[in-house]
Amino acid sequence: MLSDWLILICAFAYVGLLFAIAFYADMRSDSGRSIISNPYIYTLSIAVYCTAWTFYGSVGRAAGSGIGFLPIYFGPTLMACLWWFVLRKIVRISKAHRITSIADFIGSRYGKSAFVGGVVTVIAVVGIMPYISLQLKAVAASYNVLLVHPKIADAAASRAFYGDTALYVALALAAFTILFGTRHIDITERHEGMVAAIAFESLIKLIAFLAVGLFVVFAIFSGPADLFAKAAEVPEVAKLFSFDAMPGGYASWLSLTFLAMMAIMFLPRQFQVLVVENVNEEHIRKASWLFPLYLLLINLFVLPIAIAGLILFPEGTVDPDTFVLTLPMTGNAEYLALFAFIGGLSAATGMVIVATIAISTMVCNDLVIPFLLRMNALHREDMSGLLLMIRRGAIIVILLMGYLYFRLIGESYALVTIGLVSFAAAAQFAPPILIGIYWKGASRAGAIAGLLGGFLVWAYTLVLPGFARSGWLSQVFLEEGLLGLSWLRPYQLLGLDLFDPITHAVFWSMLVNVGLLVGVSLFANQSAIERIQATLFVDVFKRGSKTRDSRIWESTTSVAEIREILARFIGTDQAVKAFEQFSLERGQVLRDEMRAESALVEYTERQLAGAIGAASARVMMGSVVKGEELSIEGVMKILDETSQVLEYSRQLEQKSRELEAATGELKAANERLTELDRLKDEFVSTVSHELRTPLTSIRAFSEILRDSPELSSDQREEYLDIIVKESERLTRLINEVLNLAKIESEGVEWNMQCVDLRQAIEEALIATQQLVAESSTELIKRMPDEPVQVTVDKDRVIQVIINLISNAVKFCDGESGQISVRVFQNDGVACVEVTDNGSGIPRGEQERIFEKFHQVSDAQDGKPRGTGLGLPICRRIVEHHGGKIWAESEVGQGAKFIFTLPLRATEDREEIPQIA
Amino acid sequence: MSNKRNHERLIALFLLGVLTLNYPLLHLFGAASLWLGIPVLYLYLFCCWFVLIVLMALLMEGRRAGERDTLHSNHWDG
Repeated sequence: MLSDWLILICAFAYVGLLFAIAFYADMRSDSGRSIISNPYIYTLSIAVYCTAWTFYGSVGRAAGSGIGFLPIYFGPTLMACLWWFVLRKIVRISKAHRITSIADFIGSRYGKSAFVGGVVTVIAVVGIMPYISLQLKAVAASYNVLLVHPKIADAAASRAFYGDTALYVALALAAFTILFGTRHIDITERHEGMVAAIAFESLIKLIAFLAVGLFVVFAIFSGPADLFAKAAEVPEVAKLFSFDAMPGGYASWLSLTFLAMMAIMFLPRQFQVLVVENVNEEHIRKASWLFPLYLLLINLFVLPIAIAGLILFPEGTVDPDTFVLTLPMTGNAEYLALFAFIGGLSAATGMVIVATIAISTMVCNDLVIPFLLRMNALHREDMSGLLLMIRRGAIIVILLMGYLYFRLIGESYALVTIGLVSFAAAAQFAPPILIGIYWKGASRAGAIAGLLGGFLVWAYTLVLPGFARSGWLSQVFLEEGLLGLSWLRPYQLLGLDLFDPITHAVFWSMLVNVGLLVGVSLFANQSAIERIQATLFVDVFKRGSKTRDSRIWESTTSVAEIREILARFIGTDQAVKAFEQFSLERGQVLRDEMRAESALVEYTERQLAGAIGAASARVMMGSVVKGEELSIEGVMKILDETSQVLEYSRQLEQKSRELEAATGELKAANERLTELDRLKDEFVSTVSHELRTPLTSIRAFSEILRDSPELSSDQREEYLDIIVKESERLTRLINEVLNLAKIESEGVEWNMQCVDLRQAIEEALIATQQLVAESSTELIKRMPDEPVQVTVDKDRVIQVIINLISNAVKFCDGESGQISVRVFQNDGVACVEVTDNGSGIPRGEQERIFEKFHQVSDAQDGKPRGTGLGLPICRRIVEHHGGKIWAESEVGQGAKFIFTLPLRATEDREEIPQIA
Repeated sequence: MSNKRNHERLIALFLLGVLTLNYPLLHLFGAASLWLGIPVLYLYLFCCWFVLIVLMALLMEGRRAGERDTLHSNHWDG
């Protein structure tokens, strides 16, 4: 048997150790080397979820319902799957807005509303009472069990209050929490020392519970098989192996899972460790599987311990909630029992510390400060002292209220049932948060309606019946309903009698909460600040980390004044530091007399929000900053101006793009013009050169004739011949230049008609008859029997053929010369070939001969034989008719010129049947 | 890309957990029988639980390197 003082010494030594850890962590944090900034500490701190309820109550629950304790841990496991979306989003939002508590979060989401924050705080305070009383009951009971074993501890609540262990536990815990959590006001509202201590406690309670479990299974019994085999022999115990032992069946199972899912996120203390104390978003990644693993480990031996207790203790002699202690003591392992007691103490103190810190922050920031601000009662120089006082007072009040609840009804329920009442209260926060961070339309009015509605249903269906069953209210209304109206029976609202009380309460309160939130939001008008906050919350990932604050102040307050306000709440040193930080970030110097610009006011408000909550900070700044918070019209005006400027700049951009395009076109046109100009110059100079050559010889020979009368008549004749020939050449040249110019300028009229190509060739041959005869060249024509119909300007096509024939004549060698002209149809086009056996054209020249004034120099005398315009003209004409012209040749083996013209399709079709 | 896929996997895992740990699948193991000396229901629930945790760990730790890059380059909305 353990002595009184040994238990107390151990308990106090343990608490002293916690202080040491917390102190060390705070020291490290101040020197910038945080020990809690890793996912493992984060995970362990989340395990504050496992309270005395888990440590003692789960076994009690298992003893009554088999696996009925498990949904409380499956819920968090399932929720952890979604943490990467939901929790990360909440954390991101909270960091951006310096959220300090769940009330702050909800109030901030719904337009930085102090009222919403206040409602949440009230619900949290009332809802958490049962939970805190549960811890008090557990610690007190466990102490008594250790003390009086093997006798059975009497019910603590039946004693006088001054003899009640629970009262002293409550007071000790209050002192402990005050020392831990409210040493100073911090603008980040993070408690590194507390987190470190909590993490350590989580480790201790896990080890203690596993130790007890191993002891029971392997020391008292010889392994799990033995334990379960023995259990199977007792029908009462064997019942626990099946699902039927679960009261409320599958509906209860589901509702408990749901409650636990909500509780792991939205119990104020879970929000505190998950969100507010989160150092790094990335830690969520590891925590989302490590934390479920923690839960699995701590639950592994729950059922074995429960079964062992049921086997070893005659029914009813020992409260199953105390099996964790009584089993080791029965096995004569008293120090293990002491260790288990420390584990249970860890579980309870961890919960109480975090919960009361979270709640006291909420009470201070979301209830008291807004109230004092409204009363205009805040004119003291040093506000941070007042803040601390409020919080410390709140902690004491909360713990005493927890004690009161315990005194009033604590003994009528098992641990788990008390805890579930709190879970159901925390679940009321789920709709405004979850809906609020994904649906911008959720409005302040909807949130208030939902929260109040859900809270009232919760109180009516769970809290009031609790009082009634403890004898503080008449039991009659449980049976017959309020005012005797049977549809108002708290366990069977509207006659719904399918569920157990918890499931029933969860169903109705969630229905009312979500229904009112959504329903009212759909019809309520959101104010500007609500809309802004909603957007900032919902789109937090789209906006990145640099979230701008939501309001624009027009302030006339000086920098010094603003700093003073901040200093009043967080102390002068911290305020000066914060302002230095601001000017460092912005790269601007802040002088005291400067007018505080809106960025600074925003910044200050955010700093202030860390200390007194977003809603209070807003009221505070609103009342102190002399400028006006811009009215909605003002904001809209600024937005309008901004959007106009945007519109202008868009238009400007478009104009400049158009200009750029126009400039590009102009540049291209200019280049083309320059090119044409160059071509024209070239053309003119070439033409003049070509004209001058015959002119020069005409003039030279004319002068000789004039100046030399003594010339013989033969010679005269010869010279005159030259003059005539040169004149002819000149005429031809001029004609062709004119011709080409006409064709090129498109000024020429094309006289299109249906022509039989054979006939055109005949005419061309007649025109060149003389030329061919003079050169004694042999001319062969090969033509098909049927007509080759094309639609062309006949004269011009004849000109092409004449040009080609005269070219061929020029390059043929007199007597041995042979020219053939061939017409045929091929692939829907008419082809005309003019072949000679002259000197041929080098491959490289074959394309260039179609350029203007390009002449193939005669290899023999180097004298050009044409004007250099014939082939270019031919090409123009052929291309105008939609045909092609090209040359094929090998040097020394003659040349072949081919041009094509499209056949006249329609007439073909008509004529072919006639022929056939 | 892999980031988005992983998000889908997480949601699938959540649904898998909801399904395996609830009626009617749970009903299959609801009888009070022993398997290897351990109650079947107890064994089933803890096995499912453990598998869920392992899968969760694989999802969360497996793609760490690749996901970090995308995290920094764009802010995915959760």
